[in-house]
Amino acid sequence: MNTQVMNSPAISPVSIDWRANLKRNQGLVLSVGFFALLILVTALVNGRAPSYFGISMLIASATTLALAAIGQSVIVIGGGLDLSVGAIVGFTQAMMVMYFTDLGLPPYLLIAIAVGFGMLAGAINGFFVSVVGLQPIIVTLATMFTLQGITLLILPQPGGLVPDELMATLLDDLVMDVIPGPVVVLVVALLVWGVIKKTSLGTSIFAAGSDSHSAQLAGIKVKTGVWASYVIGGGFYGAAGAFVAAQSGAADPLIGAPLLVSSLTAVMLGGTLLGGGRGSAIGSVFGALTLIAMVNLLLALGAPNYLTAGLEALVLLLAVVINRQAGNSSESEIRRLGLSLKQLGKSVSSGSKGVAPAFRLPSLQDLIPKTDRKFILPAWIGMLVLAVVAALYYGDAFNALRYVDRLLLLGAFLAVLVLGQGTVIMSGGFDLSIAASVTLCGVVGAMLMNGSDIALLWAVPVTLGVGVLIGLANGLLVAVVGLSPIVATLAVGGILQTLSMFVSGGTPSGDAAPLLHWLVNGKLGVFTPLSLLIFLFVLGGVVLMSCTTFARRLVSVGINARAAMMCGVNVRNLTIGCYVISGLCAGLAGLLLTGFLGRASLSLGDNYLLPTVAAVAVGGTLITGGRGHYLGMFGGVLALTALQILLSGTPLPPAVRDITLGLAVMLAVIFLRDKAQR
Amino acid sequence: MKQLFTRTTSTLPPLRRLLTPFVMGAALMGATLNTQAAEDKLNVYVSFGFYGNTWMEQNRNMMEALAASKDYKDKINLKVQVVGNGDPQRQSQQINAMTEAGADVIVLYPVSPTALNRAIKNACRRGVTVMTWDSTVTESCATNVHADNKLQAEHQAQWIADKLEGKGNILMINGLNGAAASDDRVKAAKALWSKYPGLKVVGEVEGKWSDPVVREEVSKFMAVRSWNDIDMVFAQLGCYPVYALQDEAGIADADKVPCAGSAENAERLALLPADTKVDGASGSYRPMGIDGYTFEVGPAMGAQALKYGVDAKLAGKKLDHDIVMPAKVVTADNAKLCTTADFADLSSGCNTFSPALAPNPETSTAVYSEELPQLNLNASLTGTPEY
Repeated sequence: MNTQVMNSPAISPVSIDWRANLKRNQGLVLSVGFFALLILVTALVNGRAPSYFGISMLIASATTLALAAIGQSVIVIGGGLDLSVGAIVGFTQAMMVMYFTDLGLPPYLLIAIAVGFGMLAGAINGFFVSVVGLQPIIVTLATMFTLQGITLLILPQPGGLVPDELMATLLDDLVMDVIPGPVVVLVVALLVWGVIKKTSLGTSIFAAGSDSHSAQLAGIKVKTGVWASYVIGGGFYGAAGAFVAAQSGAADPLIGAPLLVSSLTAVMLGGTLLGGGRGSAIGSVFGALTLIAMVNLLLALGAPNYLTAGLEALVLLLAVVINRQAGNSSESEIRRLGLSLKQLGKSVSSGSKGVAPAFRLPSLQDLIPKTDRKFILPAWIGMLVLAVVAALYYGDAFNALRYVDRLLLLGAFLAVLVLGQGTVIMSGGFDLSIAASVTLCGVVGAMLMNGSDIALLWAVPVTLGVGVLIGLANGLLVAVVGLSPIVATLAVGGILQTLSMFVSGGTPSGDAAPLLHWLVNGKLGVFTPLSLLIFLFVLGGVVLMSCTTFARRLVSVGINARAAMMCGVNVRNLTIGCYVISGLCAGLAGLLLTGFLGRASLSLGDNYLLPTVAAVAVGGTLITGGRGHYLGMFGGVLALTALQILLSGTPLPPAVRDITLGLAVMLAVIFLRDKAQR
Repeated sequence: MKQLFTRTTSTLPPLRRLLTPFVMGAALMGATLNTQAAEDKLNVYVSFGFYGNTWMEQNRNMMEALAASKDYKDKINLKVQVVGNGDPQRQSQQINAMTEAGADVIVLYPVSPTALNRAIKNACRRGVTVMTWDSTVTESCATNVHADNKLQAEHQAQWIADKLEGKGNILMINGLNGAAASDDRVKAAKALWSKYPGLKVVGEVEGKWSDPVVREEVSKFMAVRSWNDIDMVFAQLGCYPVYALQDEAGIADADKVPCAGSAENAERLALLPADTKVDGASGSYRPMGIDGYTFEVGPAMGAQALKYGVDAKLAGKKLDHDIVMPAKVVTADNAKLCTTADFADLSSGCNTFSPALAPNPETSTAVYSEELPQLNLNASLTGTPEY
């Protein structure tokens, strides 16, 4: 086939075009193929063809996710990433249902209002990303907290009423028993993006995501493109909000939470690669359909319940691995997300041998380099300010020793995890599997120690070993297979969730060993042992991340992986090493949390993923990699914990606490912004 | 010309691809009549919106035990599914798929009171009996088997007001912010306390109905408070961590701040006199002689919803939209240790288990229903019926 193409001069331009088109749209073709295969397999297992009812309900169930995924893919194409997707969907449906549905407005106006609020929220994200120049992950994390809080303020529990006309508009069959309403919604949404794509605005979004520097030189308004991607994405989230409200007949403040992971998975299943510049909204729609259709397959197979998360993760991995072979990772992807390090690892790091000693005794200058101080100090100052506020606010009830002890103890778990997340982030990566790793390690550790101190002798090494294996799996997927860190760690996280369920059989068993329990809950004078031991850990972390060859290579890789490779750094092994450290830290945190709670639980790590990112950023680390100091991160952990402690004791409604947390994170990163950079 | 061609390829095929499956589906619809109607056992599907804690595990075990019991094993075919990620879209689709697969009864733990309505309505239209337990849905064709959260919280709040004689500081451990069950209880309790100017809510933490979360959030709260500043804890769940934290703070049982909450075995055990001999008691999982309060909601409720649904389907009856179950209250006055925890033992009024019978302190004690003689504590732990 290939030779024929080469040899035949008479090949028609149309067929070349067709082949190029296919190659360019491989992700899309695959996602459609995947969906069709899934429907086929389900039909075979069930022994019956899908009915109109079945297909139309499937599409209706998938439409909210599909609309959110279209929005997410626009933002990903523009080179960003949006963690606030679920929060914006929840916010728009709450605004529409609480303030507008009872005004008797026509359905289209209601939809437009929801879309408008989505675009407004997107515009805020876009402003901070494109104009202020902050990292998308941190900006959208902060807006996520803030919007969740606002949603809870206006809608403390499910309620409101959606007019029947809106439901009819969005959900009723366009042609009875031939075209379901949701199909029309999706087609209209895709057409809207299809039109925008062809305009100069669309070009600037694609350009912003591919090579923003060259695009800028070519006269394309890159900043506008980035901003527009968030506004347009927000508009689609608003549509998702209107749709889900119509589907429910009311608004539910918690409706958006599961959309974050699902929308990212749908986007990646749809063949849109993280990193920007390429992607298709149609693919995302089919990605969403695939995710929802998997429910049917699992039911048809009678699959054990714990398989769901793992199976989805495997499908995601499969889709991305097949997909990856078509696309060559661009330089921008490497820079932004540390992708495709396969080639980079091939060079032997001979250059760095003998240049610097692997380790030397650190001086203060090594421990806290002058250049880093301005990024380290703010978090500590923030922590002190919060402590003083707490002391003033609580007056007589405030006991300084107890406060310090609790602050250190509650911060300790996060501090351990942040060393791992921080290392990975400094290398230009990201570890989304942390929560699931902590849980699995806790479950395994509790089972092995089973209330016995002697069992710690093997429970601790085995648990930490599990952590190392998890890290190795992440590292290999990123550095050898060449997957984007977000995809790899998201998939590994899903598989670990299934493993935790499988290992524990649904309820984790075994108590924490008394020694471990004492370490985290006991008393040495006024202090908890862990509150003191954490200082040893911090010292170790600072030395590791500031005074070793590893640290210097880490910084060089984070700044520019290719240049580091040229200088003889084995980028591949270093990247794997970062994930292994993260896995090890997750293992340790899993053990400590098991000690803290007395036993393991399947939600052991759930509350720790986003705080690790927030603490890393508040601690002055550059989320794109290359800059960071563990003392700063530890300060970030303490500041965050101090803020949580302060808020937890105030009479502020919970919603306001979320808003405060979001604003604090945003303020911190605005303050820490390095104006010299980009 | 070429330009035109590429344009059409990039917009038309996706449309066609979108349309093909259901055009095909519509054509085949006539051939897909329900093939499973001939089977004589009822197809019963259970959809768990959440999974992964002891309470849910016990619910599932009790349902499976009921389905395996002599009374039901020839009548029903039980299939249990879990929704990944607590996602309403996926649960909607699960309901659709169950309906399509020929379900006769669907029993739901709904993730949202509203988001599943359309799928539920469709299931009802096709003759499926739809039941929920504990959490409710607003769709009127479904039957909610649940406790009256508002009434339950008022009773709990009144007990606290009486115990404190209208004066004192209260720490509230709430459920999940944004969930109706949590919000209703918080509002009901606060409304009741507003009649007592001496009662003061000094703090509210979000416990998310999970012991680990409660432990962490209360720890944060206590970093700036002393247990001396609190007179009573009002918990939706999580009295066990409250007692454990006080143990670690070195507070003697006689001085512990009492807690009113739901009925995990550890908090029930804490109500027994401190000198009670109990097999396997250790750490904070032991009798403490605390003058506390516990209310029971589920896990027998899941099996009850299953039973009601199946019985109604078999009898061809239509159930009401709401079946309100009483939330039984146990205080130090009527806490009683079980010996075997089988149905006869439970019927005699025992309500507390030794750690030897229930090794997990989070085990829910609400495993007894006089309507379910097939079930007992063991059924809730292992999924095997009493007979």
